[in-house]
Amino acid sequence: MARESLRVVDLVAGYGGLPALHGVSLEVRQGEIVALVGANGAGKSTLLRAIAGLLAPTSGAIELGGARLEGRPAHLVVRAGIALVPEGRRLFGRLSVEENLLLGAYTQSDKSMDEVFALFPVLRERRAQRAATLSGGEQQMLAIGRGLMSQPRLLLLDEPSLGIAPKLVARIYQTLAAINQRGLTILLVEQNVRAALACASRAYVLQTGRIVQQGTAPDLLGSELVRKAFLGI
Amino acid sequence: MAQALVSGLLQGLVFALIAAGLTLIFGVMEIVNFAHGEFLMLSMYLSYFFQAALGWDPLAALPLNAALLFALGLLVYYALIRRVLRAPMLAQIFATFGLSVFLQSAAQFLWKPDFRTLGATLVSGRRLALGGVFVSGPQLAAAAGAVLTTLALWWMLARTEIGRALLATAEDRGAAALMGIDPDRMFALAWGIGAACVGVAGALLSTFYYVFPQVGSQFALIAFVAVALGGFGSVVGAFVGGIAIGVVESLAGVFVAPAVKNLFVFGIYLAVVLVRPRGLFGKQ
Amino acid sequence: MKAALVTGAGAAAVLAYPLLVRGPYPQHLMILVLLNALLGTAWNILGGFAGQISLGQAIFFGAGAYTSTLLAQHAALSPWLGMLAGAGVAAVLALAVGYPFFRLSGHYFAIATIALGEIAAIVVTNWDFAGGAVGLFLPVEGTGLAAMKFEGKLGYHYLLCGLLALAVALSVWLRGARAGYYWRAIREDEPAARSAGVPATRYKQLAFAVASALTAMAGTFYAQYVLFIDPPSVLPLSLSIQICLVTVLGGAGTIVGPLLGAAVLVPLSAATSVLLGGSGRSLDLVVYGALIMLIAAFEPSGLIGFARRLRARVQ
Repeated sequence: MARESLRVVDLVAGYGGLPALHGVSLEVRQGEIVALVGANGAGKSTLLRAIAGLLAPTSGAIELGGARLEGRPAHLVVRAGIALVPEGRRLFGRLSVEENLLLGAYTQSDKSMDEVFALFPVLRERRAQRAATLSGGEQQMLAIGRGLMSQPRLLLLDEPSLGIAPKLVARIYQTLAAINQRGLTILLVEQNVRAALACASRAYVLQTGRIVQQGTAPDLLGSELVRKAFLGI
Repeated sequence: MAQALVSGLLQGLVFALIAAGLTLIFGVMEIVNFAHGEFLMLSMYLSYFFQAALGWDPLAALPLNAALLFALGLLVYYALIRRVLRAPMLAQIFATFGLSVFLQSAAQFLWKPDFRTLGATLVSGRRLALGGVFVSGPQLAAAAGAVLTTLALWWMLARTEIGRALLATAEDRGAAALMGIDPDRMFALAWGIGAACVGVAGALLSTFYYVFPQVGSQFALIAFVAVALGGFGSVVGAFVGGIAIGVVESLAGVFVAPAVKNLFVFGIYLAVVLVRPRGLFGKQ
Repeated sequence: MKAALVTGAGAAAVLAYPLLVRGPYPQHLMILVLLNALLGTAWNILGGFAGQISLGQAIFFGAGAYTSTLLAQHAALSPWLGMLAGAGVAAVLALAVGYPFFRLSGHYFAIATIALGEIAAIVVTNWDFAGGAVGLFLPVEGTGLAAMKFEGKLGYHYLLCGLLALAVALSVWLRGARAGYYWRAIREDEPAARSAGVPATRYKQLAFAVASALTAMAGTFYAQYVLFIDPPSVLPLSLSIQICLVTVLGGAGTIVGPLLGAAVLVPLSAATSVLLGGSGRSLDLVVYGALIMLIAAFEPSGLIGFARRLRARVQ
């Protein structure tokens, strides 16, 4: 089994006794970009949170490179090589850009920010600024940069385009593609189906906690379900 | 007037240190340590016994106070606080409140309500005259020690990795966990450091303050008010709040009446908390 | 059905107690149990049902005691009317205090109530009209129902039974009514309750006023029973602690909880006083403190919660 393959098998998870995921299975192979799309409330965030260790699943398995991760708390999951860029960014607003990046590298001895600054030059300009004072797009870049600082094998992104101007969304997706070219596996969750399917090679469709469709991005773009539900066609 | 101000300022710096420890704990985990005053009391008794039994000067033994109180903070976290992290607020309040009652009455039971004073120390018996104002050696030393410790605390939080991790946990413990920061460790550390701050304050105060089982209550109350004034979770706020309360308390004691100076302190608490619950620098 | 039988048996036992057990000390203990049960039941309405943790209820106990005593001294008012007046004063005070205080959440509210209690103690200690630090004595002569003063303990026992029955009845009634429903919502999640349309502030005030009025009536009773009041006996923080502990030990939010808590705590604290003589005073509090911690850490639902868990385990 390839080192960076993520496998989720029959995952059941939820909040306070109510399952939001009813047995979800998916796979992300090394070097891929996989998208998970679905409407609000479909359970996409729940899935990412379960993978990242913020939520303990009720049953099912999560494997990275063959190692079982389900139930492991978040601070240990990141040490296993999975980084989550959470919904809403969840930056440390009262700390500076630089401090946020340094915190991203908490588990690493190499704290160099050069790579991140190369990807997002605006962050270097604003390195001493408090994170809360950045614009939406800049905050998203910082959040992604922070995730990259932990040298992950798999990067999870929860709604990276939410609340961001379309021009910046394109820029961010370009950057994600570039990072992926360098070998980082990516699983991203999006309501913006067009942008997601443009970037990803494969995708899954999640509806009320179940996978209802999966396939290559072009296939999905052409499918009835996706066109009707998400693209309004 | 000037005497009262200077005295209040010096005292206020010590309050600031005590408040800083309290606000750190609250900032990181949103639990109010009702036993904070009792930690102070225990540290003062430690200093007393170190001197009475071993002849150690409280200022020399100060690092030991800090270390022992750090350990106590950890112990309290692991044995008690951890169990109520996910419990309803009633349980959280009662956990530290019960600890406070327990420690204070245990001290009363073991060591009797007698007021004790320490014998001669490195700094006792000295007085400085600064432009018509008299400042006692112990008070000055205590203020200096408090400032140094508070500065060290601030430096740790602002400039070290572990300090950053604490601040991150305080702001968003889930996001901090995503960075690889173990919230459990951070909580324990917050308790340890918070207790250690109070440990230092206790050693400093023992050089000129009476040591008795209830001594913690008075300081705890002032610490709460200082933290409320400065904003729960803000060390800078605790510092400012502590000094402010110190000055007000001193002025009230001199110009109104010592018996009712608590009234002013309580009054300020109520005023702050009702008018601006967030305090001067607090998180929302 | 079983619950009604048990309740009936318990009530009968309590009513018959002073007729069967004639020694003054055991009768006094039972009065203390009933008094604490009354105080706990009152606190339960605010803290157990509505979830507002007040650590300063002693102020209302003192308000009741001082109001009725001062009115009796200066206006020759019957203690019965004084009791009502005390309840009124407490309710008004609670409403006045609650208005700003209920804007505070959880911890801050609790600290504010401690501050309030301490302010009250300082003010009364320095207020000559109210007797200051010396306190107030009530005249020993003139016993009889009208004067709310009795020879021996029987009269007091039954008076207290009446007050306790009133408090319990109120608790049962309110809990089953809309108030109880709203209180539960507020206790569980106040922001959610508010957005669902619950008039939270109004109902918190209601709980506070009722609890405080009942506490004040207990204060009047105390004054009439002990015939001496001063700030350390009716206004101390330790009393506020005791009031909470009784309920939390037994099981906050239940009807039986405060009764059970009082029945356990009073004999326990009497036993420690007896066993350890003079130093029993602070050992009381050592035990209280330990109990509070243990309950908080292991069984926040108190003895009732513990019993339920055991029963579930057994079944």
